[in-house]
Amino acid sequence: MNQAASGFVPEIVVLFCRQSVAGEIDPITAPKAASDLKLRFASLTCSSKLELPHLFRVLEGGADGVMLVACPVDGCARMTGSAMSGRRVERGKKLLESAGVGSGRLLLERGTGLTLEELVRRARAFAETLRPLGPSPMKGVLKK
Amino acid sequence: MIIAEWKPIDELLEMLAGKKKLLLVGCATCVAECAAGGEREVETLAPLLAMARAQRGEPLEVVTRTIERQCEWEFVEELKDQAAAADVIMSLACGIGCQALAERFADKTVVPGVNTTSLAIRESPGLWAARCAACGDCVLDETFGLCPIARCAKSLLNGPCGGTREGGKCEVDENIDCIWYLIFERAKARGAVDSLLKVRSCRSWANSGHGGPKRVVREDLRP
Repeated sequence: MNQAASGFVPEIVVLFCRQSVAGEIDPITAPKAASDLKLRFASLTCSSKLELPHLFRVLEGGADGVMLVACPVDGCARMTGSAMSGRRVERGKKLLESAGVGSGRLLLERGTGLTLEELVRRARAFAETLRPLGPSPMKGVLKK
Repeated sequence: MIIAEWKPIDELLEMLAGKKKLLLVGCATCVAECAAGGEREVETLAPLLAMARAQRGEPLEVVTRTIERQCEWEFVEELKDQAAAADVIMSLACGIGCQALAERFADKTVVPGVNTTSLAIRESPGLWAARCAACGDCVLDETFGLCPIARCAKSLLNGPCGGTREGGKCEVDENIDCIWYLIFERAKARGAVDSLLKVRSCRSWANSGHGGPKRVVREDLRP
């Protein structure tokens, strides 16, 4: 069945660098900004603090997609952190592709001064690209 | 250190076909240093394998454990209970560690998760390069501390060969130094080029792999 037609709403975990957003975004209340999406948020001190095991464990936990939000490469408060996270995501995408899971479940977005509304807008666009992939293969396993 | 790299995911999945519970074992020594089989790599590979199997409709339970060294029996013993509960064990250690697990848990299927490739040094972050071939007859005293066995594509003892590229690079790969070029440069810097002209007797390979599986015995350390 066409996933869009089936009403599939992807579960997306948004991991954002605290330096990339405008002001404070409360991960607890942030999902309420988009009632039509299934979003979870977590803030990071720097996107580079996130390693592949973290990203993969989130996907293994049943998330349909992970969106990592980092600062611009030349605007990282920790100098090379954002560039490093970009390389990690690229490697993660290749591994997911080689495992047959699909690289499309991982997304890196960059920006500065991002508002909650902007994060939701990007997450909504990501959800559209996830719909054709269907639910995470782990959903069936985790239910059992 | 001993360096290794992951086998392709397809090959790993093929080795795990039909198995339902995997114990994925890392080694916190050499392969951790070369980012192939330490705790970070174990925790990266475990969810990847679980997702790949779920995608294929054949769920796989993956239990992870990283021990200090897979080549030491005392550490291998720590796996006893987890090994008993698994129906396959995958080692992310070098071939030595994998064989130690296979010997200790002989009733289990033990498979390698990595290909062991060399004895190497970390030249810079993310780049490891061979330094030693464990040939059994070290000549570093005669080659100014640069190994022609491990670092010459032809293991020449009378290099360089005719294929050296301009700038002292190897004909095999422009990113690899011609080791005999470097040996000559180091000899020149020390004013000892003449020592390279010395005629040597034929090398004996008897102490390398040509003499059968290598054993070293120290009677004073034997029980």
